[in-house]
Amino acid sequence: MMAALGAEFLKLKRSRTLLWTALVVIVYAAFSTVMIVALKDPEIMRSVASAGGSFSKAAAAGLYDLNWANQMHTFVQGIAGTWGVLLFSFVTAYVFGREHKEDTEKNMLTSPVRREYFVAAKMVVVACWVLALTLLSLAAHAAGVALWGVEGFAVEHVATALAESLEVTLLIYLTLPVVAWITLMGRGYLRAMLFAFAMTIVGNGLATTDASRYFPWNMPMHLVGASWMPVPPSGLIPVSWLIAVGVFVVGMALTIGRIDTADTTP
Amino acid sequence: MGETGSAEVVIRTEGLTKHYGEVRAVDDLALTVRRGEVYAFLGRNGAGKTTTIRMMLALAKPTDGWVEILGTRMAPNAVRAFERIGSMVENAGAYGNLTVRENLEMQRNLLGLRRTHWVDEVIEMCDLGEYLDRRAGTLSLGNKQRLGLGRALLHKPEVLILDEPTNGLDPVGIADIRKVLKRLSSERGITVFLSSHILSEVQQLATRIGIIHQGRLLEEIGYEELRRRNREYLEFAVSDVKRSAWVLEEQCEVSDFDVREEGTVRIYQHFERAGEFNQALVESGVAISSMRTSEESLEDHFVHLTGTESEAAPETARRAGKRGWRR
Repeated sequence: MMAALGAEFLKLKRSRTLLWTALVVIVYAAFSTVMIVALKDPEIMRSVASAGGSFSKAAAAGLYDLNWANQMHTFVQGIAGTWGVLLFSFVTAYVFGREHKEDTEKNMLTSPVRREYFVAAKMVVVACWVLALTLLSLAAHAAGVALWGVEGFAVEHVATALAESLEVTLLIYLTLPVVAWITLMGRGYLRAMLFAFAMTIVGNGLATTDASRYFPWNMPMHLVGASWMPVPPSGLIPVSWLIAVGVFVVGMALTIGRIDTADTTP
Repeated sequence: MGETGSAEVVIRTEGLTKHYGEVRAVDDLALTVRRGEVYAFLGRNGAGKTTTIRMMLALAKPTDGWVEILGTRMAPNAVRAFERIGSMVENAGAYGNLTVRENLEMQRNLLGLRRTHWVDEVIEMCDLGEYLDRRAGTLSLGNKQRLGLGRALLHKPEVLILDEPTNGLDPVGIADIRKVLKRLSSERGITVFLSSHILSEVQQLATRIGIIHQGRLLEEIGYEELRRRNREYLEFAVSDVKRSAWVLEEQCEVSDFDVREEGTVRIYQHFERAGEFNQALVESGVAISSMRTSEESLEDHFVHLTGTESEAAPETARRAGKRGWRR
Protein backbone atom coordinates (compact mmCIF):
# COMPACT_ATOMS: atom_id res chain seq x y z
CA MET A 1 0.00 0.00 0.00
CA MET A 2 2.80 2.41 0.89
CA ALA A 3 4.51 1.68 -2.41
CA ALA A 4 1.31 2.52 -4.29
CA LEU A 5 0.90 5.67 -2.23
CA GLY A 6 4.47 6.76 -2.90
CA ALA A 7 4.00 6.14 -6.61
CA GLU A 8 0.76 8.10 -6.75
CA PHE A 9 2.32 11.14 -5.08
CA LEU A 10 5.40 10.94 -7.28
CA LYS A 11 3.17 11.01 -10.36
CA LEU A 12 2.20 14.58 -9.43
CA LYS A 13 5.76 15.85 -9.51
CA ARG A 14 6.00 18.74 -11.98
CA SER A 15 2.34 18.19 -12.81
CA ARG A 16 0.89 21.11 -14.72
CA THR A 17 -2.60 19.98 -13.82
CA LEU A 18 -1.79 20.57 -10.17
CA LEU A 19 -0.80 24.15 -10.99
CA TRP A 20 -3.80 24.70 -13.25
CA THR A 21 -6.25 23.69 -10.54
CA ALA A 22 -4.51 26.03 -8.09
CA LEU A 23 -4.74 28.78 -10.68
CA VAL A 24 -8.48 28.19 -11.14
CA VAL A 25 -9.02 28.59 -7.40
CA ILE A 26 -6.95 31.77 -7.25
CA VAL A 27 -8.65 33.30 -10.29
CA TYR A 28 -12.06 32.48 -8.80
CA ALA A 29 -11.00 34.15 -5.56
CA ALA A 30 -9.84 37.19 -7.53
CA PHE A 31 -13.17 37.45 -9.34
CA SER A 32 -15.01 37.11 -6.05
CA THR A 33 -13.11 40.00 -4.55
CA VAL A 34 -13.96 42.10 -7.59
CA MET A 35 -17.55 41.71 -6.39
CA ILE A 36 -16.51 43.70 -3.34
CA VAL A 37 -16.03 46.71 -5.60
CA ALA A 38 -19.58 46.25 -6.86
CA LEU A 39 -20.93 45.87 -3.34
CA LYS A 40 -19.21 49.11 -2.35
CA ASP A 41 -21.04 50.96 -5.12
CA PRO A 42 -24.52 52.00 -3.89
CA GLU A 43 -25.75 52.40 -7.49
CA ILE A 44 -24.98 48.79 -8.35
CA MET A 45 -26.51 47.55 -5.13
CA ARG A 46 -29.68 49.51 -5.83
CA SER A 47 -29.96 47.97 -9.30
CA VAL A 48 -29.49 44.47 -7.83
CA ALA A 49 -32.13 45.15 -5.20
CA SER A 50 -34.59 46.39 -7.81
CA ALA A 51 -33.88 43.64 -10.35
CA GLY A 52 -36.43 41.32 -8.78
CA GLY A 53 -36.22 37.58 -8.29
CA SER A 54 -34.09 35.69 -5.79
CA PHE A 55 -31.13 38.06 -6.08
CA SER A 56 -33.26 40.97 -4.88
CA LYS A 57 -34.64 38.84 -2.06
CA ALA A 58 -31.09 37.88 -1.11
CA ALA A 59 -30.05 41.53 -1.15
CA ALA A 60 -33.04 42.44 1.00
CA ALA A 61 -32.11 39.67 3.45
CA GLY A 62 -28.71 41.28 3.86
CA LEU A 63 -26.73 38.53 2.15
CA TYR A 64 -24.80 41.11 0.13
CA ASP A 65 -23.94 43.44 3.00
CA LEU A 66 -20.25 44.13 2.85
CA ASN A 67 -18.62 42.61 5.91
CA TRP A 68 -16.20 39.79 6.79
CA ALA A 69 -18.94 37.45 7.97
CA ASN A 70 -20.77 37.64 4.64
CA GLN A 71 -17.61 37.50 2.58
CA MET A 72 -16.33 34.40 4.33
CA HIS A 73 -19.72 32.74 4.03
CA THR A 74 -19.89 33.60 0.34
CA PHE A 75 -16.54 31.88 -0.07
CA VAL A 76 -17.91 28.65 1.44
CA GLN A 77 -21.00 28.92 -0.75
CA GLY A 78 -18.71 29.23 -3.76
CA ILE A 79 -17.25 25.79 -3.03
CA ALA A 80 -20.65 24.31 -2.28
CA GLY A 81 -22.54 25.58 -5.26
CA THR A 82 -20.18 26.81 -7.93
CA TRP A 83 -16.78 25.24 -8.34
CA GLY A 84 -16.42 22.55 -5.69
CA VAL A 85 -18.19 19.67 -7.41
CA LEU A 86 -16.78 20.56 -10.84
CA LEU A 87 -13.16 21.13 -9.84
CA PHE A 88 -12.93 18.26 -7.36
CA SER A 89 -14.52 15.95 -9.92
CA PHE A 90 -11.96 17.09 -12.46
CA VAL A 91 -9.16 16.32 -10.02
CA THR A 92 -10.58 12.83 -9.51
CA ALA A 93 -11.09 12.28 -13.23
CA TYR A 94 -7.50 13.34 -13.85
CA VAL A 95 -6.00 11.12 -11.16
CA PHE A 96 -7.92 8.07 -12.37
CA GLY A 97 -8.06 8.90 -16.08
CA ARG A 98 -4.46 9.82 -16.75
CA GLU A 99 -3.38 6.18 -16.66
CA HIS A 100 -5.51 5.49 -19.70
CA LYS A 101 -4.57 8.72 -21.42
CA GLU A 102 -0.84 8.24 -20.91
CA ASP A 103 -1.00 4.54 -21.70
CA THR A 104 0.33 3.59 -18.27
CA GLU A 105 -2.74 1.66 -17.17
CA LYS A 106 -1.25 -1.68 -18.20
CA ASN A 107 2.00 -0.86 -16.37
CA MET A 108 0.07 -0.17 -13.21
CA LEU A 109 -2.11 -3.27 -13.49
CA THR A 110 0.83 -5.59 -14.12
CA SER A 111 2.79 -4.30 -11.14
CA PRO A 112 3.00 -6.67 -8.19
CA VAL A 113 0.69 -4.49 -6.13
CA ARG A 114 -2.94 -5.31 -5.44
CA ARG A 115 -5.20 -3.24 -7.64
CA GLU A 116 -7.38 -2.00 -4.77
CA TYR A 117 -4.28 -0.48 -3.21
CA PHE A 118 -3.94 1.73 -6.27
CA VAL A 119 -7.57 2.81 -5.92
CA ALA A 120 -7.07 3.58 -2.24
CA ALA A 121 -3.80 5.42 -2.93
CA LYS A 122 -5.44 7.49 -5.66
CA MET A 123 -8.28 8.43 -3.34
CA VAL A 124 -5.73 9.55 -0.73
CA VAL A 125 -4.07 11.71 -3.37
CA VAL A 126 -7.45 13.17 -4.34
CA ALA A 127 -8.19 13.87 -0.66
CA CYS A 128 -4.91 15.73 -0.19
CA TRP A 129 -5.34 17.62 -3.45
CA VAL A 130 -8.91 18.84 -2.77
CA LEU A 131 -8.01 19.71 0.81
CA ALA A 132 -5.09 21.79 -0.44
CA LEU A 133 -7.35 23.55 -2.96
CA THR A 134 -9.89 24.34 -0.24
CA LEU A 135 -7.23 25.81 2.04
CA LEU A 136 -5.67 27.74 -0.82
CA SER A 137 -9.06 29.11 -1.74
CA LEU A 138 -9.73 30.20 1.83
CA ALA A 139 -6.36 31.92 2.01
CA ALA A 140 -6.88 33.65 -1.34
CA HIS A 141 -10.36 34.86 -0.38
CA ALA A 142 -9.26 36.08 3.00
CA ALA A 143 -6.34 37.91 1.42
CA GLY A 144 -8.65 39.51 -1.15
CA VAL A 145 -11.16 40.65 1.46
CA ALA A 146 -8.38 42.08 3.62
CA LEU A 147 -6.87 43.82 0.59
CA TRP A 148 -10.10 45.72 -0.11
CA GLY A 149 -10.31 46.86 3.48
CA VAL A 150 -13.63 45.23 4.31
CA GLU A 151 -14.64 45.96 7.86
CA GLY A 152 -15.69 43.63 10.64
CA PHE A 153 -12.75 41.24 10.74
CA ALA A 154 -12.81 38.60 13.45
CA VAL A 155 -10.82 35.39 13.65
CA GLU A 156 -14.12 33.69 14.40
CA HIS A 157 -15.39 34.43 10.85
CA VAL A 158 -12.34 32.83 9.28
CA ALA A 159 -12.51 29.87 11.66
CA THR A 160 -16.18 29.34 10.87
CA ALA A 161 -15.44 29.53 7.15
CA LEU A 162 -12.65 27.01 7.60
CA ALA A 163 -14.88 24.57 9.47
CA GLU A 164 -17.73 24.97 7.00
CA SER A 165 -15.48 24.67 3.96
CA LEU A 166 -13.92 21.48 5.35
CA GLU A 167 -17.38 20.05 5.92
CA VAL A 168 -18.45 21.00 2.41
CA THR A 169 -15.24 19.55 0.97
CA LEU A 170 -15.84 16.31 2.87
CA LEU A 171 -19.38 16.09 1.51
CA ILE A 172 -18.16 16.58 -2.04
CA TYR A 173 -15.28 14.15 -1.46
CA LEU A 174 -17.76 11.45 -0.48
CA THR A 175 -19.25 11.66 -3.99
CA LEU A 176 -15.90 11.42 -5.78
CA PRO A 177 -15.53 7.61 -5.96
CA VAL A 178 -18.56 7.64 -8.27
CA VAL A 179 -16.66 10.05 -10.52
CA ALA A 180 -13.64 7.73 -10.35
CA TRP A 181 -15.80 4.81 -11.43
CA ILE A 182 -17.29 6.76 -14.35
CA THR A 183 -13.78 7.80 -15.37
CA LEU A 184 -12.63 4.17 -15.47
CA MET A 185 -15.77 3.09 -17.28
CA GLY A 186 -15.51 5.95 -19.78
CA ARG A 187 -11.72 5.59 -20.12
CA GLY A 188 -11.18 9.32 -19.96
CA TYR A 189 -12.24 12.59 -18.45
CA LEU A 190 -15.17 13.56 -20.67
CA ARG A 191 -17.97 11.39 -19.29
CA ALA A 192 -16.89 12.03 -15.73
CA MET A 193 -16.96 15.78 -16.28
CA LEU A 194 -20.32 15.63 -18.04
CA PHE A 195 -21.61 13.72 -15.04
CA ALA A 196 -20.20 16.31 -12.62
CA PHE A 197 -21.71 19.11 -14.68
CA ALA A 198 -25.10 17.39 -14.72
CA MET A 199 -24.96 16.86 -10.96
CA THR A 200 -24.14 20.54 -10.42
CA ILE A 201 -27.12 21.57 -12.57
CA VAL A 202 -29.47 19.14 -10.81
CA GLY A 203 -28.09 20.20 -7.45
CA ASN A 204 -28.72 23.88 -8.16
CA GLY A 205 -32.21 22.99 -9.36
CA LEU A 206 -32.97 21.25 -6.09
CA ALA A 207 -31.28 23.89 -3.96
CA THR A 208 -34.42 25.42 -2.44
CA THR A 209 -36.26 22.14 -1.94
CA ASP A 210 -36.20 19.70 0.95
CA ALA A 211 -35.22 16.93 -1.45
CA SER A 212 -31.75 18.42 -1.63
CA ARG A 213 -30.83 17.05 1.79
CA TYR A 214 -31.15 13.54 0.33
CA PHE A 215 -29.23 14.26 -2.86
CA PRO A 216 -25.47 13.95 -2.20
CA TRP A 217 -24.41 16.43 -4.88
CA ASN A 218 -26.66 19.08 -3.38
CA MET A 219 -26.00 18.41 0.28
CA PRO A 220 -23.13 20.95 0.45
CA MET A 221 -25.43 23.68 -0.81
CA HIS A 222 -28.14 22.56 1.54
CA LEU A 223 -25.65 22.82 4.38
CA VAL A 224 -24.42 26.37 3.73
CA GLY A 225 -26.97 27.84 1.34
CA ALA A 226 -26.36 29.70 -1.89
CA SER A 227 -25.46 33.31 -2.41
CA TRP A 228 -28.60 33.80 -4.54
CA MET A 229 -30.85 31.92 -2.09
CA PRO A 230 -32.39 34.06 0.67
CA VAL A 231 -33.67 30.98 2.50
CA PRO A 232 -31.31 30.23 5.37
CA PRO A 233 -29.80 26.75 5.14
CA SER A 234 -31.63 24.26 7.32
CA GLY A 235 -28.69 21.88 7.73
CA LEU A 236 -28.35 18.19 7.10
CA ILE A 237 -30.02 15.39 8.98
CA PRO A 238 -28.35 12.11 10.03
CA VAL A 239 -29.94 10.34 7.05
CA SER A 240 -28.14 12.80 4.76
CA TRP A 241 -24.79 11.71 6.16
CA LEU A 242 -25.79 8.08 5.89
CA ILE A 243 -26.64 8.58 2.23
CA ALA A 244 -23.39 10.46 1.60
CA VAL A 245 -21.30 7.73 3.22
CA GLY A 246 -23.35 5.12 1.36
CA VAL A 247 -22.55 6.82 -1.95
CA PHE A 248 -18.86 6.78 -1.01
CA VAL A 249 -18.93 3.08 -0.13
CA VAL A 250 -20.86 2.13 -3.26
CA GLY A 251 -18.56 4.31 -5.38
CA MET A 252 -15.45 2.69 -3.92
CA ALA A 253 -16.91 -0.80 -4.42
CA LEU A 254 -17.77 -0.01 -8.04
CA THR A 255 -14.33 1.47 -8.70
CA ILE A 256 -12.47 -1.45 -7.15
CA GLY A 257 -14.79 -3.89 -8.92
CA ARG A 258 -14.14 -2.15 -12.20
CA ILE A 259 -10.36 -2.12 -11.83
CA ASP A 260 -10.37 -5.77 -10.70
CA THR A 261 -12.27 -6.98 -13.73
CA ALA A 262 -11.14 -4.30 -16.14
CA ASP A 263 -10.86 -5.38 -19.71
CA THR A 264 -8.28 -2.90 -20.83
CA THR A 265 -8.31 -3.97 -24.45
CA PRO A 266 -8.71 -0.78 -26.43
CA MET B 1 19.41 -22.72 -27.18
CA GLY B 2 16.72 -24.90 -28.51
CA GLU B 3 17.29 -27.78 -26.10
CA THR B 4 14.21 -27.02 -24.08
CA GLY B 5 12.05 -30.03 -24.77
CA SER B 6 12.18 -31.36 -21.22
CA ALA B 7 12.44 -28.03 -19.47
CA GLU B 8 9.79 -26.75 -17.10
CA VAL B 9 6.71 -25.26 -18.73
CA VAL B 10 6.67 -21.58 -17.87
CA ILE B 11 3.73 -20.32 -19.90
CA ARG B 12 0.75 -22.47 -20.73
CA THR B 13 -2.54 -21.51 -22.30
CA GLU B 14 -5.43 -23.89 -22.73
CA GLY B 15 -8.50 -23.23 -24.83
CA LEU B 16 -7.78 -19.52 -24.59
CA THR B 17 -10.58 -17.66 -26.32
CA LYS B 18 -11.64 -14.06 -26.52
CA HIS B 19 -14.73 -12.85 -28.32
CA TYR B 20 -15.74 -9.26 -28.87
CA GLY B 21 -19.36 -9.65 -29.90
CA GLU B 22 -19.26 -11.63 -33.11
CA VAL B 23 -15.52 -11.16 -33.56
CA ARG B 24 -13.34 -14.04 -32.43
CA ALA B 25 -10.16 -12.21 -31.57
CA VAL B 26 -8.52 -15.34 -30.15
CA ASP B 27 -9.93 -18.78 -30.69
CA ASP B 28 -9.10 -21.86 -28.64
CA LEU B 29 -5.42 -21.09 -28.31
CA ALA B 30 -3.22 -23.73 -26.73
CA LEU B 31 0.47 -23.10 -26.44
CA THR B 32 3.30 -23.89 -24.09
CA VAL B 33 6.54 -22.05 -23.59
CA ARG B 34 9.35 -23.76 -21.72
CA ARG B 35 11.99 -22.24 -19.49
CA GLY B 36 14.77 -20.58 -21.43
CA GLU B 37 12.91 -20.42 -24.72
CA VAL B 38 12.60 -17.31 -26.82
CA TYR B 39 9.14 -17.73 -28.26
CA ALA B 40 8.18 -15.40 -31.07
CA PHE B 41 4.46 -14.98 -31.52
CA LEU B 42 4.05 -13.98 -35.11
CA GLY B 43 0.99 -12.72 -36.89
CA ARG B 44 -0.31 -9.89 -38.92
CA ASN B 45 -1.95 -6.84 -37.46
CA GLY B 46 -5.25 -7.87 -35.92
CA ALA B 47 -4.29 -11.55 -35.78
CA GLY B 48 -4.88 -11.70 -32.02
CA LYS B 49 -1.34 -11.28 -30.67
CA THR B 50 -1.99 -8.33 -28.39
CA THR B 51 -5.27 -9.77 -27.15
CA THR B 52 -3.47 -13.00 -26.26
CA ILE B 53 -0.77 -11.10 -24.40
CA ARG B 54 -3.36 -9.01 -22.60
CA MET B 55 -5.09 -12.17 -21.44
CA MET B 56 -1.75 -13.61 -20.35
CA LEU B 57 -1.19 -10.55 -18.17
CA ALA B 58 -4.75 -10.44 -16.82
CA LEU B 59 -5.39 -7.20 -18.65
CA ALA B 60 -8.25 -8.78 -20.52
CA LYS B 61 -10.64 -11.42 -19.31
CA PRO B 62 -10.78 -14.56 -21.46
CA THR B 63 -14.17 -15.53 -22.80
CA ASP B 64 -13.03 -19.08 -22.24
CA GLY B 65 -9.88 -20.97 -21.31
CA TRP B 66 -7.02 -19.99 -19.06
CA VAL B 67 -3.41 -18.91 -18.84
CA GLU B 68 -0.87 -20.22 -16.39
CA ILE B 69 2.48 -18.53 -15.90
CA LEU B 70 5.09 -19.95 -13.54
CA GLY B 71 2.44 -22.20 -12.10
CA THR B 72 0.02 -19.39 -11.31
CA ARG B 73 -3.36 -19.13 -12.98
CA MET B 74 -3.31 -15.57 -14.27
CA ALA B 75 -5.98 -13.27 -12.89
CA PRO B 76 -6.08 -9.71 -11.60
CA ASN B 77 -4.01 -9.42 -8.42
CA ALA B 78 -1.78 -12.39 -9.27
CA VAL B 79 0.81 -10.44 -7.31
CA ARG B 80 3.24 -13.33 -6.76
CA ALA B 81 3.36 -14.06 -10.48
CA PHE B 82 3.82 -10.41 -11.42
CA GLU B 83 6.85 -10.26 -9.13
CA ARG B 84 8.50 -12.73 -11.52
CA ILE B 85 7.17 -11.39 -14.83
CA GLY B 86 8.38 -8.39 -16.78
CA SER B 87 6.12 -7.07 -19.50
CA MET B 88 5.67 -4.41 -22.09
CA VAL B 89 2.38 -4.26 -23.94
CA GLU B 90 2.17 -2.31 -27.20
CA ASN B 91 3.53 1.21 -26.87
CA ALA B 92 5.39 1.58 -23.63
CA GLY B 93 3.55 4.11 -21.51
CA ALA B 94 5.42 6.43 -19.21
CA TYR B 95 4.57 9.36 -16.98
CA GLY B 96 5.43 12.28 -19.21
CA ASN B 97 6.04 14.77 -16.40
CA LEU B 98 8.64 12.51 -14.77
CA THR B 99 12.19 12.00 -15.96
CA VAL B 100 13.45 8.67 -17.22
CA ARG B 101 15.16 8.01 -13.92
CA GLU B 102 12.08 8.98 -11.91
CA ASN B 103 9.94 6.63 -13.98
CA LEU B 104 12.36 3.80 -13.26
CA GLU B 105 12.70 4.72 -9.58
CA MET B 106 8.93 4.72 -9.23
CA GLN B 107 8.81 1.24 -10.72
CA ARG B 108 11.60 0.13 -8.40
CA ASN B 109 9.56 1.30 -5.42
CA LEU B 110 6.45 -0.44 -6.70
CA LEU B 111 8.45 -3.63 -7.06
CA GLY B 112 9.70 -3.24 -3.53
CA LEU B 113 13.34 -3.40 -4.65
CA ARG B 114 15.91 -2.01 -2.27
CA ARG B 115 18.84 -2.36 -4.63
CA THR B 116 19.13 1.03 -6.32
CA HIS B 117 21.95 -0.18 -8.58
CA TRP B 118 19.44 -2.33 -10.46
CA VAL B 119 18.13 0.92 -11.95
CA ASP B 120 21.64 1.76 -13.13
CA GLU B 121 21.96 -1.69 -14.65
CA VAL B 122 18.87 -1.34 -16.84
CA ILE B 123 19.87 2.19 -17.76
CA GLU B 124 23.11 0.79 -19.12
CA MET B 125 21.50 -2.27 -20.66
CA CYS B 126 18.85 -0.26 -22.49
CA ASP B 127 21.22 2.54 -23.41
CA LEU B 128 19.22 5.20 -21.59
CA GLY B 129 22.18 7.00 -20.03
CA GLU B 130 21.99 10.18 -22.05
CA TYR B 131 18.23 10.56 -21.47
CA LEU B 132 18.21 10.06 -17.71
CA ASP B 133 17.18 13.59 -16.82
CA ARG B 134 14.87 14.06 -19.77
CA ARG B 135 11.14 14.04 -19.11
CA ALA B 136 9.60 10.91 -20.55
CA GLY B 137 7.05 13.04 -22.39
CA THR B 138 9.80 14.48 -24.57
CA LEU B 139 11.29 11.12 -25.59
CA SER B 140 10.99 9.72 -29.07
CA LEU B 141 8.84 6.64 -29.57
CA GLY B 142 11.94 4.47 -29.82
CA ASN B 143 13.40 5.78 -26.58
CA LYS B 144 10.05 5.34 -24.87
CA GLN B 145 10.24 1.70 -25.95
CA ARG B 146 13.68 1.45 -24.39
CA LEU B 147 12.31 2.93 -21.19
CA GLY B 148 9.45 0.44 -21.29
CA LEU B 149 11.90 -2.40 -21.72
CA GLY B 150 14.01 -1.07 -18.87
CA ARG B 151 10.93 -0.95 -16.69
CA ALA B 152 10.12 -4.55 -17.61
CA LEU B 153 13.66 -5.72 -16.84
CA LEU B 154 14.14 -3.82 -13.62
CA HIS B 155 13.39 -6.68 -11.23
CA LYS B 156 15.31 -9.29 -13.23
CA PRO B 157 12.20 -11.25 -14.12
CA GLU B 158 12.19 -14.93 -14.96
CA VAL B 159 9.70 -14.38 -17.76
CA LEU B 160 9.60 -11.49 -20.14
CA ILE B 161 6.43 -10.85 -22.14
CA LEU B 162 6.83 -8.25 -24.83
CA ASP B 163 4.29 -7.06 -27.33
CA GLU B 164 5.95 -5.68 -30.45
CA PRO B 165 9.01 -4.47 -28.52
CA THR B 166 10.71 -3.01 -31.57
CA ASN B 167 7.77 -0.84 -32.49
CA GLY B 168 9.01 2.63 -33.40
CA LEU B 169 12.68 1.74 -33.26
CA ASP B 170 15.11 2.47 -36.05
CA PRO B 171 17.20 -0.42 -37.47
CA VAL B 172 20.00 0.24 -34.99
CA GLY B 173 17.52 0.28 -32.15
CA ILE B 174 16.00 -2.97 -33.35
CA ALA B 175 19.42 -4.57 -33.42
CA ASP B 176 20.15 -3.24 -29.92
CA ILE B 177 16.95 -4.69 -28.49
CA ARG B 178 17.70 -7.99 -30.19
CA LYS B 179 21.14 -7.97 -28.63
CA VAL B 180 19.72 -7.25 -25.18
CA LEU B 181 17.18 -10.04 -25.46
CA LYS B 182 19.79 -12.49 -26.73
CA ARG B 183 22.03 -11.59 -23.82
CA LEU B 184 19.22 -11.99 -21.30
CA SER B 185 18.29 -15.33 -22.75
CA SER B 186 21.80 -16.73 -22.87
CA GLU B 187 23.24 -15.19 -19.68
CA ARG B 188 20.27 -15.19 -17.36
CA GLY B 189 18.18 -17.91 -18.93
CA ILE B 190 15.16 -15.63 -19.07
CA THR B 191 12.17 -17.02 -20.88
CA VAL B 192 11.05 -14.55 -23.50
CA PHE B 193 7.66 -14.43 -25.16
CA LEU B 194 7.49 -11.70 -27.75
CA SER B 195 5.05 -10.81 -30.47
CA SER B 196 5.80 -9.29 -33.79
CA HIS B 197 4.40 -9.03 -37.26
CA ILE B 198 7.81 -8.79 -38.85
CA LEU B 199 9.47 -12.17 -39.12
CA SER B 200 12.90 -10.85 -40.00
CA GLU B 201 12.99 -9.06 -36.65
CA VAL B 202 12.53 -12.21 -34.63
CA GLN B 203 13.85 -15.14 -36.64
CA GLN B 204 17.46 -14.54 -35.58
CA LEU B 205 16.42 -14.48 -31.98
CA ALA B 206 13.63 -16.99 -31.54
CA THR B 207 14.06 -20.58 -30.56
CA ARG B 208 10.45 -21.21 -31.44
CA ILE B 209 7.92 -19.36 -33.52
CA GLY B 210 4.16 -19.60 -33.24
CA ILE B 211 2.14 -18.25 -36.14
CA ILE B 212 -1.27 -16.86 -35.28
CA HIS B 213 -3.82 -15.84 -37.85
CA GLN B 214 -7.40 -14.74 -37.29
CA GLY B 215 -7.13 -15.73 -33.66
CA ARG B 216 -5.96 -19.29 -34.28
CA LEU B 217 -2.51 -20.76 -33.84
CA LEU B 218 -1.70 -22.06 -37.31
CA GLU B 219 1.73 -23.51 -36.78
CA GLU B 220 4.59 -23.75 -34.34
CA ILE B 221 8.09 -23.99 -35.73
CA GLY B 222 10.82 -25.37 -33.51
CA TYR B 223 14.45 -24.40 -33.27
CA GLU B 224 15.83 -27.02 -35.68
CA GLU B 225 13.22 -26.29 -38.31
CA LEU B 226 13.81 -22.60 -37.87
CA ARG B 227 17.52 -23.00 -38.29
CA ARG B 228 17.01 -25.14 -41.36
CA ARG B 229 14.48 -22.82 -42.94
CA ASN B 230 16.52 -19.77 -42.27
CA ARG B 231 19.46 -21.12 -44.25
CA GLU B 232 20.00 -20.67 -47.93
CA TYR B 233 19.98 -23.82 -49.94
CA LEU B 234 20.24 -25.33 -53.38
CA GLU B 235 17.42 -27.70 -54.14
CA PHE B 236 17.32 -30.50 -56.72
CA ALA B 237 14.10 -32.28 -57.62
CA VAL B 238 15.38 -35.76 -58.39
CA SER B 239 14.09 -39.14 -59.56
CA ASP B 240 15.92 -41.09 -56.85
CA VAL B 241 16.66 -39.43 -53.53
CA LYS B 242 18.65 -42.34 -52.09
CA ARG B 243 21.04 -42.47 -55.00
CA SER B 244 21.29 -38.67 -54.96
CA ALA B 245 22.28 -38.72 -51.31
CA TRP B 246 24.95 -41.31 -52.03
CA VAL B 247 26.33 -39.29 -54.97
CA LEU B 248 26.47 -36.07 -52.97
CA GLU B 249 28.13 -37.70 -50.00
CA GLU B 250 30.56 -40.05 -51.71
CA GLN B 251 31.39 -38.33 -54.97
CA CYS B 252 30.92 -34.66 -54.24
CA GLU B 253 31.94 -34.92 -50.56
CA VAL B 254 29.04 -32.78 -49.43
CA SER B 255 28.00 -33.31 -45.83
CA ASP B 256 25.51 -30.55 -45.17
CA PHE B 257 22.42 -31.55 -47.07
CA ASP B 258 19.11 -33.20 -46.40
CA VAL B 259 16.74 -35.40 -48.27
CA ARG B 260 13.13 -34.38 -48.31
CA GLU B 261 10.09 -36.55 -48.58
CA GLU B 262 8.73 -34.88 -51.69
CA GLY B 263 11.62 -36.13 -53.83
CA THR B 264 13.99 -33.25 -53.36
CA VAL B 265 17.46 -32.85 -51.99
CA ARG B 266 18.59 -29.64 -50.34
CA ILE B 267 22.25 -28.71 -50.17
CA TYR B 268 23.31 -26.02 -47.73
CA GLN B 269 26.93 -25.47 -48.79
CA HIS B 270 29.18 -25.02 -51.81
CA PHE B 271 26.55 -23.27 -53.97
CA GLU B 272 29.32 -22.34 -56.40
CA ARG B 273 29.61 -26.04 -57.29
CA ALA B 274 25.99 -26.29 -58.45
CA GLY B 275 27.06 -27.29 -61.96
CA GLU B 276 29.34 -29.99 -60.64
CA PHE B 277 26.56 -31.48 -58.47
CA ASN B 278 24.21 -31.44 -61.42
CA GLN B 279 26.69 -33.27 -63.62
CA ALA B 280 27.53 -35.85 -60.97
CA LEU B 281 23.89 -36.67 -60.33
CA VAL B 282 23.08 -37.00 -64.04
CA GLU B 283 26.13 -39.16 -64.66
CA SER B 284 25.01 -41.45 -61.85
CA GLY B 285 21.67 -41.98 -63.54
CA VAL B 286 19.60 -39.59 -61.46
CA ALA B 287 17.10 -37.60 -63.49
CA ILE B 288 16.84 -33.99 -62.42
CA SER B 289 13.54 -32.33 -63.11
CA SER B 290 14.42 -28.98 -61.58
CA MET B 291 17.11 -27.11 -59.75
CA ARG B 292 16.61 -23.95 -57.78
CA THR B 293 18.11 -21.88 -55.06
CA SER B 294 16.11 -21.13 -51.89
CA GLU B 295 13.10 -19.24 -53.07
CA GLU B 296 10.84 -19.87 -50.15
CA SER B 297 12.19 -18.43 -47.00
CA LEU B 298 10.44 -18.70 -43.67
CA GLU B 299 9.04 -15.30 -44.41
CA ASP B 300 7.47 -16.57 -47.62
CA HIS B 301 6.06 -19.45 -45.67
CA PHE B 302 4.56 -17.01 -43.19
CA VAL B 303 2.99 -14.97 -45.96
CA HIS B 304 1.73 -18.15 -47.58
CA LEU B 305 0.17 -19.34 -44.34
CA THR B 306 -1.52 -16.09 -43.50
CA GLY B 307 -2.69 -15.14 -46.98
CA THR B 308 -1.31 -13.28 -49.94
CA GLU B 309 0.54 -10.03 -49.50
CA SER B 310 -2.14 -8.13 -51.34
CA GLU B 311 -4.56 -9.13 -48.59
CA ALA B 312 -2.32 -7.65 -45.96
CA ALA B 313 -3.61 -4.83 -43.87
CA PRO B 314 -2.41 -1.41 -45.00
CA GLU B 315 -0.24 -1.06 -41.92
CA THR B 316 1.37 -4.42 -42.58
CA ALA B 317 2.04 -3.47 -46.15
CA ARG B 318 3.44 -0.13 -45.14
CA ARG B 319 5.80 -1.58 -42.59
CA ALA B 320 6.71 -4.42 -44.87
CA GLY B 321 7.68 -1.95 -47.55
CA LYS B 322 9.68 0.11 -45.11
CA ARG B 323 11.58 -2.68 -43.46
CA GLY B 324 11.78 -5.24 -46.23
CA TRP B 325 9.04 -7.80 -45.90
CA ARG B 326 10.95 -10.15 -48.16
CA ARG B 327 14.54 -10.87 -47.70
